[in-house]
Amino acid sequence: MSVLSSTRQSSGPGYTTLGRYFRGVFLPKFIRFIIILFVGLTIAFAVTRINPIDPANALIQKLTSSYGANVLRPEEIESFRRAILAIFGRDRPIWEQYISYLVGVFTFNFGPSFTYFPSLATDIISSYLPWTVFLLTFSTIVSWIIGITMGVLASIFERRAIGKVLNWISLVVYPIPTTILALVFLVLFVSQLRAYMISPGGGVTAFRLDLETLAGMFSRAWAPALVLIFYNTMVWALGTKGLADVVRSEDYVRYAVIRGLPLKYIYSRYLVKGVLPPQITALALTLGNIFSGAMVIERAFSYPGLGSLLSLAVASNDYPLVLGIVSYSILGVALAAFILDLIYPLIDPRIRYGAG
Amino acid sequence: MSYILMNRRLIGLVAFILAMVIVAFVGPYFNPYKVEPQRWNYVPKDRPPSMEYPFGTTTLGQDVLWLTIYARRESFAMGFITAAISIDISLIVGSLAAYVRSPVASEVVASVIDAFCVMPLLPILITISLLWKQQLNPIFIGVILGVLGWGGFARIIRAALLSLQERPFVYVAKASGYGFFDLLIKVYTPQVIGWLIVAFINRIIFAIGMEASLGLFGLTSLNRASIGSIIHWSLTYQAFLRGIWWWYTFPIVLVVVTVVVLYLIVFELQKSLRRGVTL
Amino acid sequence: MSEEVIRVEDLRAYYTMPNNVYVRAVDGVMLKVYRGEILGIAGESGCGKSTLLRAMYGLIEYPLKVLGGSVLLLTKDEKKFDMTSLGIDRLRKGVWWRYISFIPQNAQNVLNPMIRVKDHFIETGKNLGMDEDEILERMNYWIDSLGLSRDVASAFPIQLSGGMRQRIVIALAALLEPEVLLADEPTSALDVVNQRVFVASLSKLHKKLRNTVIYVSHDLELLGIFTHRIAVMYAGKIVEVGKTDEVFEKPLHPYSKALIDSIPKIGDTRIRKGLSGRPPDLRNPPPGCRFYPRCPYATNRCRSEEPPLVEVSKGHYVACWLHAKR
Repeated sequence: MSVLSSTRQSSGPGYTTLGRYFRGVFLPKFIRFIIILFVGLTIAFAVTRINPIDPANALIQKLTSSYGANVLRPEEIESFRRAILAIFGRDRPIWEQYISYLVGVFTFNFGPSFTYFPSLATDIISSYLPWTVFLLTFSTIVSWIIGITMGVLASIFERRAIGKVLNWISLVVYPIPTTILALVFLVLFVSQLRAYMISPGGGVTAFRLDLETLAGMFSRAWAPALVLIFYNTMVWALGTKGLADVVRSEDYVRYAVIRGLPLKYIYSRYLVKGVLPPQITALALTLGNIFSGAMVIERAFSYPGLGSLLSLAVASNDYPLVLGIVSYSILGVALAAFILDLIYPLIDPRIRYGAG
Repeated sequence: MSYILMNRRLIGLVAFILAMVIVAFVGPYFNPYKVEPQRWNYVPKDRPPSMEYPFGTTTLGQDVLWLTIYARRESFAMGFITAAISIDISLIVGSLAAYVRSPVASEVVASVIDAFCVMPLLPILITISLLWKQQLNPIFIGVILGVLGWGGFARIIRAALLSLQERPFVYVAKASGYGFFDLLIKVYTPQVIGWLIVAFINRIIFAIGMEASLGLFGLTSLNRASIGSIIHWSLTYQAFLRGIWWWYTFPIVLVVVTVVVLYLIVFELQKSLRRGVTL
Repeated sequence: MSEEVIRVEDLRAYYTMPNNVYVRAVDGVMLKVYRGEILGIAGESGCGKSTLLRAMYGLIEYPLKVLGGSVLLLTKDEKKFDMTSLGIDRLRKGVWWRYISFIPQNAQNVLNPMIRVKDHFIETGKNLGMDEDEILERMNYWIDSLGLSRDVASAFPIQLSGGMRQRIVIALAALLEPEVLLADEPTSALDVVNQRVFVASLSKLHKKLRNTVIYVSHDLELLGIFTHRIAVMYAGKIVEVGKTDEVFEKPLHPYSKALIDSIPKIGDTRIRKGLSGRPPDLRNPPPGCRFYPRCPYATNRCRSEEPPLVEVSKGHYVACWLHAKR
């Protein structure tokens, strides 16, 4: 009789590894995802109900005005009117409003945007979205990897000058509000970045997956990416350094030293491996903050992503657009966190095999 | 406690912040102008720093020095409100998550807490500020930030209390019939006071940062002096391009110094707390 | 006639604290360890026994510093290693695990939770120049000898019980069949049953390898069961060394006497009196005998002059004015 089968979580007949994964990992994480998603969307919904301005009225007025009549056919006006009332209308019981809001979110229908009337809000969002995804994914991955490496190095060399300098820099940079950091960068590099100083806008090219578009994206993205990467690297370095200090003093790391394992081996296989799982969790939890920071940077640098779009929408009181951006931000971040949650057990055997 | 007092660096930092807070709250009483500094056109425009105007004047005819002092007051007041509210919510929800007996319910509460951590706060904040544009003021913003930003500390509370649950004195309290609120106030809270102070300062930093971001989007209390409104107006009037550097540099430098010092305090406190010093 | 395998001479190992203060954890220790024996080092927390063990292993890292004396490891093939001055890098390359290995405190938590049991063996062995087949062969041998099942090897530490993990640590220490095995309170966190199992496994190992074992513990009773010789430490110094049976039968130093008297024996209904007071502050130890404030037999001489460690009968050493002839 195998020793292990008595110490592992009970596995009955018919439970494959896949089945255990589904039951033990996927299902609970999925439920968590649903809860997170709905808490977020409910707040977004609640926010648009408890306020003095009734967005629906303003929108309908614009629709039925002469401008609307000139640009649209009657059927279009009617369908838009229904969409607006579905999302913003207040003359129904609150539960109905909530359900129709959720339906709107999941069918990608928020009605027309004010500023880009009569284009659909969701169409506008989807043309700005790839830019944000590009910037966010690229800078997050780069800063996470570099930041963790720097944090581990700062811990290893904590008594040498380089370690102390690194620690100080990250301590100072961490609390600075993203807005101010962006402004500082703009001021410092104002000569190179004069082009970024104008209000947001500027041509948004349609997204195609080809080299030209990607090159274009890169040339506009390098400045905001630089700031984002710099800031987030410092954040990760700071957190990782503290974590690495703790891991280094763990019994099992000391035991590796005692066994005579070479230092470089211990640093890569023990230290880094010990630091990764908590930092993945941290990534999932701080995605919201990272996203907010990216919005600010995009706005400050007039980068044609959701940040600038949000700024535009705010400036023209474009409620459908604003609500759409908020709702899809929540959805996106929750989804990303969910994916990270699913990856986590693959990295940490303690979760995979549980407590015996 | 004695360890904290012996740490001279920490004392220095705290003294510095206290000095700033005092200047921010007492300073406005010495305002030499008959009007509040965020009004327009009470001094000549665009004057660089000089003896008469130590921080210079803005394109809107405002004295930057006094604008900054009032803005600091708004920042601290708003920060305190945010910190106070979010700490309370964190304590209640975090304790709830630990107190609840059924593991399923505990996981659900934990997911709700995580939801507030994961949520991108800025878009939501922007939506609220957009819809309540007329009513924006530091108290309002402070309250909203407090109600939205309690997730992080709640997580810490939950984790700390879950491990505390295993300790005998908590068993005894529960067995003696302590109800939820009794437990909360008499048993849980004293254990976490150290972390509470850390979270308090942390939330002040958070509030200042968020308000500045709101200013970038033009959605803060624009008719009052605040970091956000200074940023907004200086951007709108192209101070960055026109070389009116004194308008934004002094306030921003002061904000940076403040948050850095606040964070250094947090860092030092965290070091002692991790070593097991309880307050 | 037993030969020496480890010789500790006047070892002084201190911990550096801020403001140039030193904690004199090991303050002038002389000890000989003989090949083939099981030596127990006993004493209360803070007496310096763990530090002594670490110094014997050569594990000297900040804030630990060796300020004087030496520890010599004398191997069967006539090599001499000065453990305290060689430095960790040199020791790692030719001495550790080959001639001498270490079982640390808290042994059930020293395994890396992220890798499997067999990976521990493989990484340790590969670092010592073994090839994988040889490593696995030896691993299986020890797993069998210690009464574990073979599928322990592909498990993650989290899947095993504390007792199992402890035996794995023993197996790891025995990988290259070193001449000396150092054990630093490996069972302090275990329940009594597991303690006995561990000690039994260790004894079995000792019998198979015919090597030397040095076992540090505060549990005198446990040491009394399986050691050949025992050394008692107090406040950074050795106060008594001798054959276990002798020391237990007739403890000479007042401190050892108090310790041994405190062990409950069946049928013994005397009321025990504990020792009052605490060990001295090792940052500023007093002159004279360090046990002076708590010793029921103290004299004036004890207060001002430190007693040397002298051989009172064959192989039995004591550091006490009661027994040193002048």
